[in-house]
Amino acid sequence: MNFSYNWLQLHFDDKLPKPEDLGSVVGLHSFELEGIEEAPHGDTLIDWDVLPNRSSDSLCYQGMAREIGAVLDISYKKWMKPEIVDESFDANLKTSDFVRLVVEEGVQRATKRIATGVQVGPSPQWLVEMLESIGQKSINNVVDITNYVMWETGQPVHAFDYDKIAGEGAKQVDIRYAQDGEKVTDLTGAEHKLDSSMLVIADSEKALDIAGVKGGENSGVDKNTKTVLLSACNFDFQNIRNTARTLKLHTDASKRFENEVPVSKIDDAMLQFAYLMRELAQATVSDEIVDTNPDKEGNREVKLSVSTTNRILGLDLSKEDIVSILKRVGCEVSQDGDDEFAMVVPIDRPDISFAGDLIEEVGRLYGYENLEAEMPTDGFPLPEISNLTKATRTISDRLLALGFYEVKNRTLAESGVVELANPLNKNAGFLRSHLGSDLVAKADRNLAYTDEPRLFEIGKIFSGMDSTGVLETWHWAGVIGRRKIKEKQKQELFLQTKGVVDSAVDALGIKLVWESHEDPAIGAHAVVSVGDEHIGLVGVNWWEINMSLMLPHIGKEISYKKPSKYPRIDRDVAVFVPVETTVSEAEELIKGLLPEETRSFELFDIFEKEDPSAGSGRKRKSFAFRMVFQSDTETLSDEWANKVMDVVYKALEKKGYEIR
Amino acid sequence: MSDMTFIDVTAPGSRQKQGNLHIISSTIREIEDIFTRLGFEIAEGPEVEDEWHNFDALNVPENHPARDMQDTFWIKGVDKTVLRTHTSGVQNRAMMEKKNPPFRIIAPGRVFRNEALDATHEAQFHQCEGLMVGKEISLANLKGVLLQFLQEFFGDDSVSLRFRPGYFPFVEPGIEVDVTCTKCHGENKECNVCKGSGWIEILGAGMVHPHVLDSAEINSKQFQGFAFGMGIERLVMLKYGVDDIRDFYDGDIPFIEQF
Repeated sequence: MNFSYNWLQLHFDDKLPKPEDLGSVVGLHSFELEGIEEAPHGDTLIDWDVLPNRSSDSLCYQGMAREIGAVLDISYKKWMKPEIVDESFDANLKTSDFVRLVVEEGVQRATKRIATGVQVGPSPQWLVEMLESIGQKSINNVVDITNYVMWETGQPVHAFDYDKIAGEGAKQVDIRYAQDGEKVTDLTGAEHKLDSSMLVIADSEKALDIAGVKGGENSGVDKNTKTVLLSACNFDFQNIRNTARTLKLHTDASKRFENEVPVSKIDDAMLQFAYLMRELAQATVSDEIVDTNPDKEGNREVKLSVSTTNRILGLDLSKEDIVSILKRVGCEVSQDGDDEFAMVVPIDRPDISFAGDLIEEVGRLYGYENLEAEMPTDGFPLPEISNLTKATRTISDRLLALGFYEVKNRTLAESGVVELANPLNKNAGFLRSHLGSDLVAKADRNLAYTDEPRLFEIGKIFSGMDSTGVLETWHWAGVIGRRKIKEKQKQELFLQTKGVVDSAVDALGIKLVWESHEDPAIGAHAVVSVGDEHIGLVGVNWWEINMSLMLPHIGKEISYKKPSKYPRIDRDVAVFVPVETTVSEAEELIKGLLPEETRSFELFDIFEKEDPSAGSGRKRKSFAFRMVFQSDTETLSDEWANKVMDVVYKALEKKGYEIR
Repeated sequence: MSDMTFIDVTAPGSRQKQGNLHIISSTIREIEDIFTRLGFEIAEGPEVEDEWHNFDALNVPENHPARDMQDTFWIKGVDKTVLRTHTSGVQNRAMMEKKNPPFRIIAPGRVFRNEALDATHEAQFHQCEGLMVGKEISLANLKGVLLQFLQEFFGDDSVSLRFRPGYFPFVEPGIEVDVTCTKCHGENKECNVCKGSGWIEILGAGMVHPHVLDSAEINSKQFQGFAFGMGIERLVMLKYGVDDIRDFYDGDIPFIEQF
């Protein structure tokens, strides 16, 4: 809220620090300083962002003056120009002769007071200037008074032209719920259609205003007004919030009611309202206030201890220090003790309800800038690193080294299994059920920058729901982007993809089982498993794997073997095989024949070629394997290796493969 | 001259092309590493959260504006279920799991707000929550831990911080934390990062509200602690001058490869 510096100054006998300094000192101890700007009449506006829990007491000059007094530790005056000295008004004029008040639930308190002989006219210059300095236009003395009272006390008040209220004698005024579709035209001439959740102030014929939000046109004060019904009420804050939101009608009044104006503020506001009507509009004001809830709120007492205060803040304050700070915000000791004591808190500080709230007051007014930074010394257990963190980091690092970029796509998607009740727009009405399609789209987008964008993502997907909850899982997916994939490139590209996936999970000690699968929707692909569990799919140039299912399998088992001191022998074998033969078939055949001295055995080349013996364009495949032999106890001879290979050759030939 | 072969050492070496982590991930990793060194454990929580964990357990009152349709995404067909609006929901989960203080955790993750997109607003972004509970964990300790973190994160021992009063229902006292401007160090009145104030608002924090401890069945008479939460995108935007939050989710390699 923008506060007028000159207006605030009127609450103090001491000279306030200059606006920049006042702005920052309050900014550090109370509310963030949003800005400072010049205002009309040589004034300065200071914009403080009053905190939500303090909006009930500090969205007004009385409240902010008290806050500044507490921060600067100087005394402030609740009442300023004009100072209110005479609190009694006309005893012969009875408000109850003019009005009967009937209210419904949701109205915490309603008060009315009659003023006769009102002279509507221009406001005095000082009032015009004060309102102008905060950007408010002067209308006439009565309307300006209502505005002024609200800015001063934080309690919205309203002036009804009594003669526009229907009825005779003691006219009945209701605060009731509107009928569905009931219309009210506000002071600016705008019409609002209400519903039955909204409160109106009404006479026997019509709604006079939208309670807590805005006055009505049909009951407003004009230049002919002679008798004014002064009104100050307090409503359920949530009701006003809903009304303002539904009508999209956010006013200075609704903003204050939404923030729970303390009920007791009515007393201050009614007093100032009546006083100013008498002084500035020459009104005769009734001494009698018709009040639906005159019971005073009791004092609230909050207990506090010196030791807890110091333990929470990490300070070493004495009881005297604490008490003197809390007195600055208007608290008084009500029950004394060595360590524990009780304080009565100001009635209009509903944010203070337990010890922690008082500790906050002590902390901020003592000054957080005076708090030393201290590292904790409690004995804490050492942190464990979760499998999720391990897997995420290991997989990511492997993929980076293989040229992959990590992207983060949006969770909200156009389609999925789990739907939002209140989406932002219809392209984002679901939670994603997989990562793949967005990733492929991002790869296509990146073809503008590079010929082979390699992308991956690790993120949550939402795969199902029932009445008790939503199933969410960590997935990791990747893609090797290509402009176009030709049929004959598919095998080679698939092996690249497979190589990436295998080397990423290899670092986690996971061995995937690969099985071929066909699905017309996604083409040829592999289903990968850990143990007996299917955990994902790998296509020609993409993969998507359920990482949550992978996590329990993480962990490398290492059985150490002393490295051999003897030389190794390498042997290759290459064979032509029928085109439908898989690598694993050939591998299985050879593996069973290899001796225990075999250190490694792997495929190192594969290609397809026309089969000259079959003719008519039939193809055959070539597999080339390399094996390495090495003994732990002796130097192996060429003869030894030749013998091993003879066995292998014979078996391959017997199977019908052609040795190259 | 000898017959030694000439080698042009100025020609570029043949390098294996490397990819890159997304800046959000690498920032989270950096934060995790700093806090892990300080003894914090990394915790995790669901992105679809029940209303109780997201609001009730955090002392956010029934009628708080945050619960309105306007700010929170609600799940259709599942009662009282939301896309989490902050990582603070992990507080209760972590405390219930750990049971006995002392403990200290951080919980990075994705959060959601039902807000129209613009340069500074995204329906999804990332936060990191921190929580430390023990017998004597104080506001002064919060200052100590955060100072250590921020100096390491910005790689600058001269970074200092200041506490201002703030309001979050799940802490009391509530604190807004500012850090000295990493761009102008308070020396440029025209600075576009700190707007000449020399300070940047960087995270929200405070002492865990007793109701929050109680709802996790931790005795608030015996234990106390601090919590904090920071926006990852905001940290990155400050550190590197990224000016549009939507850039994070475009997936463009020219964006990703820079960090």
